[in-house]
Amino acid sequence: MPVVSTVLVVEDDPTVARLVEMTLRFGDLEVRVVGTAPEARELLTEPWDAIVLDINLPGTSGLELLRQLREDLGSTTPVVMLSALRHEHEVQRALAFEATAYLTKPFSPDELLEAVRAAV
Amino acid sequence: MWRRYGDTAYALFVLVGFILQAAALALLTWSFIPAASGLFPAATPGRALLGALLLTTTALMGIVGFILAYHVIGARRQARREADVREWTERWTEVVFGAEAPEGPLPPAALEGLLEVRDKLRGSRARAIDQLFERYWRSGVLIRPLRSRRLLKRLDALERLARARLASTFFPVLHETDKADARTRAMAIRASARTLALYPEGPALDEAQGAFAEALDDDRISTGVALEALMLLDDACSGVAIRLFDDPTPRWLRWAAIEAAGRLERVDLTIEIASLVEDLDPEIRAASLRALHGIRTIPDAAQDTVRRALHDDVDFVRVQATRAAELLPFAVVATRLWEMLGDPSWWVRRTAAETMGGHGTAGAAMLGWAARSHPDRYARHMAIQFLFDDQRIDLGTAELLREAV
Repeated sequence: MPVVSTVLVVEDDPTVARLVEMTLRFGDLEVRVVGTAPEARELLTEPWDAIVLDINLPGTSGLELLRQLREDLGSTTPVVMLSALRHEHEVQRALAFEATAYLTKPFSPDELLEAVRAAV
Repeated sequence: MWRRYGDTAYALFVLVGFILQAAALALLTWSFIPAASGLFPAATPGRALLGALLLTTTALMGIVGFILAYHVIGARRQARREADVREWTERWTEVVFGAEAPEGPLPPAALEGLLEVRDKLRGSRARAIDQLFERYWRSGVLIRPLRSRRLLKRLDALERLARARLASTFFPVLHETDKADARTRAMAIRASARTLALYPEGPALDEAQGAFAEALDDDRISTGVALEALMLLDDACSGVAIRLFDDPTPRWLRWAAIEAAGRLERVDLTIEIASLVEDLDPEIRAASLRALHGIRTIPDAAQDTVRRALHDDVDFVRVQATRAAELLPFAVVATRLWEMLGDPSWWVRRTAAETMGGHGTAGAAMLGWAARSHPDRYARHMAIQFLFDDQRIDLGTAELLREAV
């Protein structure tokens, strides 16, 4: 029986979250969706195969969450970043924290699935 | 909510209440004129006063009752509408991923739901949504309200078209930028920008970008709206901005194009932006330098130009040049930064200190040296202040250095 990869999606916009969830499920991945950084922080310690992380979360930003994941928890879980605007310095910061990919919204489900599949 | 749906009914209610009040007051006034009251024996002052009070109470209760009922009913309708849109958003999401499309005709909530989904997607699935728009509503249904006499209806239509991002509606929306009403123009520019941001690749894209650049070149459009529109183009900004860098474009629009390219960090435009660093207009020179700093790239061929800008006559240009100097090798700019610590402008001195501070150990060492032995007194003060602000020296050391100065 094939092992199903599990993906954590951290996204506060319900429509985007649902679309990301459907995209990943369409690609035969198991998905858990949360809408806030505190909810995500509680789940970060679990063994995810990949994380899809929105940059503009209310309160704690996605980049800060990524920093905590790498520096505080020492996790190497692949992370795909989603952002409303593509700012080079944000991309550089995300890459500095070893984000696997950086996609902008509106997003392409095909690109997202490709990025997550490449990461897991 | 109130303004959107209740304007006419509320205006009628207030008008009826006002007429009743006016009639009551007229009767009351008439009855208190002794000569006149004799003409109408029934309208004694006491009775007229009672009648006026009753009319006032009725009018006020009517208006208050209407407002309360409107809010209760309006809130319920709004909640039901939002639930319907959520349901349709979910349904369309499933359709996008292969579920069977519903049979038409569809309710208005279905259109709102599809707009919500379309607004979040790009690529092949987004194009599939474009086909759903055509199948159920056709782009004409979205465009028709643009001809409405009601401003609110036209603005709603533009908002919908912005979310739909249909390439087929780009030119009709862009045509609205020529309208007399400033709100319609601004909304149309935004809607066109959002559509152009996801315009399909191909020869039509070039034509659309050219038309958009031309539409922006209109004195009735404010710099802020133009800048916002260029920012909304996101990755597609370069194709439009590059058309606006040239000289025939008005100064305010060139400024907006450079500013947008800088804020969006368009690395592909660095060479074109660098060529504007020596423009005749100081605002354009400053914007170009700020943009290069924002993009964090100075092309090799433009390094000398930026170095020359450190000697610009205009202080706000020197400030931006000093900031951009952070991206040049320290050895190339160190001497000039040292001189600029003693610039007549406080802002230039401060930026020079910050730029030095951003140049790592070598920059920090030079700042320390400047704090002790720069020939200019103001330069020494600035170096000390910056080292203290940046927590590189403590208060005691700063005081000692200041005394020495």
